[in-house]
Amino acid sequence: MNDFRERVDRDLNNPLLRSNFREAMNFLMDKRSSRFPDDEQLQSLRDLGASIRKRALSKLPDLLEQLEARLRDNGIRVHWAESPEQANQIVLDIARHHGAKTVIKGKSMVSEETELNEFLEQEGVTPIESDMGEYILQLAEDKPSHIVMPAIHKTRQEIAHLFEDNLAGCEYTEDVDALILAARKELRKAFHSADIGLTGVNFMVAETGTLVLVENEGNGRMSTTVPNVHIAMTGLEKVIESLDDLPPLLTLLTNSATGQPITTYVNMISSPRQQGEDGPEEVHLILLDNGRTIPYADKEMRQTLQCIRCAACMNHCPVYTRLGGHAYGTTYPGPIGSILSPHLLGLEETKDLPSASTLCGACSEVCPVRIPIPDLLRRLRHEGVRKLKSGEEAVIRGHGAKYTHTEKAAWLSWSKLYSSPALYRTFALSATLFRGLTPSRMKGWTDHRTLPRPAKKSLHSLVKSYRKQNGASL
Amino acid sequence: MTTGIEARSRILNHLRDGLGDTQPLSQEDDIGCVADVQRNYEERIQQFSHMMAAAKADVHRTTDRLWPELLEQLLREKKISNLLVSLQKEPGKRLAEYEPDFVLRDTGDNPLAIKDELFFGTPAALTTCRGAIAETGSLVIWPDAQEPRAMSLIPPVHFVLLKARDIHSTFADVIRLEGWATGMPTNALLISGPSKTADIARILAYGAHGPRELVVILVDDEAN
Repeated sequence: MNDFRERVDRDLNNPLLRSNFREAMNFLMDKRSSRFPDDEQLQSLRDLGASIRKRALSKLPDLLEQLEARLRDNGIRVHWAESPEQANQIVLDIARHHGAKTVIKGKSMVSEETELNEFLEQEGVTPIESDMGEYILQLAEDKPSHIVMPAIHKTRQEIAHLFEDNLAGCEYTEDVDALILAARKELRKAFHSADIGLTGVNFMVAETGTLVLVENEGNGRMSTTVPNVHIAMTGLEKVIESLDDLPPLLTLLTNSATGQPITTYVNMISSPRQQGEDGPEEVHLILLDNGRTIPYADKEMRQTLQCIRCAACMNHCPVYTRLGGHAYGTTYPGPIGSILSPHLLGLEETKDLPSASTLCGACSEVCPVRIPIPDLLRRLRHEGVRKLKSGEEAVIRGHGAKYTHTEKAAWLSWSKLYSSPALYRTFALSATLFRGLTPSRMKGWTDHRTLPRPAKKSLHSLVKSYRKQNGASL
Repeated sequence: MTTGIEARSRILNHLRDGLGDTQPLSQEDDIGCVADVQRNYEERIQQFSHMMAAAKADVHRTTDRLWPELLEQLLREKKISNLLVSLQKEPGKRLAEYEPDFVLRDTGDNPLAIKDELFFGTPAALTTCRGAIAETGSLVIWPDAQEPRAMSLIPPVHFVLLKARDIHSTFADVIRLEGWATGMPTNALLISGPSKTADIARILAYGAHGPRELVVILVDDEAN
């Protein structure tokens, strides 16, 4: 994470990447806005979305226990993991138990968070990504740059070359239908023979013990239907109280994410296969903490956990649009990543992220569950430079990671200067008198800009002399 | 079965400690609402058909008497010579009586036994559905032993028989009117078009992993 600035420089200087993201974000923003023509209805729906998520979080431990009890009654096995390592180990144990050689994966950002693929490969189990975007990235040994459209940074030509090089019998073509057909054929074989299917979860319904997955491709359904074992892996905050809470959140999710009234498939799973049915014999759910309990303990930062992962915040973020997702260096990029990743990884690792924002507020204007992202970014900036008072408990790992004595001293001096008229006047006078001594290079600023020289006379003195000549009114 | 007992209790303890003085909110505390749209019978059919067409699914409106003939014609046009169907369910029985010019293949009693056939030798399947949602153009399907989950997923063409009177206005209506909260099936599905992806350069392609074509045969009783 410490080479954040290097990655920013790298990606800002990649014109192809910048134009890819600019076009893709324009496309996604247009799609979303076309789906919400009535602003009054949209605002009311967002109120409801926020209420549902706040309500769920206000009784999260109880709902998790209720969910677990329902799932258990339905025959689904529940596992709890505090860390990515524990979550990965649970997957491996299940794989070992079944003698599994391959795990076919629907899209799961949590498995990206735990770096499951790398772990399974080391342990001799082959993970196969089946979401088209994730499949492309796996072939390219690349990472997602967007949480909904993971391969959005790849051009059609790059993908055509990738398929030509990696898929047996696939010739170079830029015809998207042909490319998708080639991948479909390859992945059908994988679905047919895979031992385990692994997916994420969009919502977990505590009332009925139901796992809800939304998708367009059908790979999520394939992963949860064909293999004999299904493992669902998700963050523990994804629980909602009742089935009645589902329709408004689904509407908000799919419309905000891709401007679709609904995705092709909404897949609701409540048990393993029953006598005579098809589907997996075993269904497992892994609930991952990985730092989520930390923001939960702070009422303001708890709002981070309201997120339903629609990615509208990144689609509308001027910083994300210019950088793309990789520069952030974390699983979740963009505004939501900048407020979530510090909790998952600690501020030490992510100290630059809360500053990677202009605080323009576009993210919070579109967030379907009304997360006040700019407020949370400012809070994290504050926690990053604040020293704990004696006896005060840190609200985040890596608290004060950005604190420096120099910065502290600089702001103290600034504060003194601007609160004392005498000091301020002396400073203004010296700055104009000695303006010739202004250094030509100043860290950060002069890398990209010319340093302005102070004017000959300060605004105050100009106003003063004007008034002397022309009377009191300016 | 629950594993990771220690992890479980530590996580729940963290959450309980973290709650502090937070009071549990109830549904009465919710603000905001979903716009209420009431649609009559014909409007529901129109909205459903419009949304389905927008998602590139085909909707054919017919009558109970004529649907086997229509299906035969559609299969002929698509040059499909055999159809997977449950002969234990009413539509399968109707088709068997009708004696169409395509081959009827029964799903049988054991859906796991037809996995290879589904993957490698089934050009099309016909299933029933529980109902539909007008607002989003979605079919509501609860697969079972005779019409398994894979049947609406693996064959390249999926035909669905839908009775017009089973089209509800919204998903929320379906959940409430059918009392879903009192008993969910192993798998409940909403299907709103053929399988698709825009993962390559945002260009929409159909038939990503599931059916390339979704054909709804809308049986309109009122028209009889």
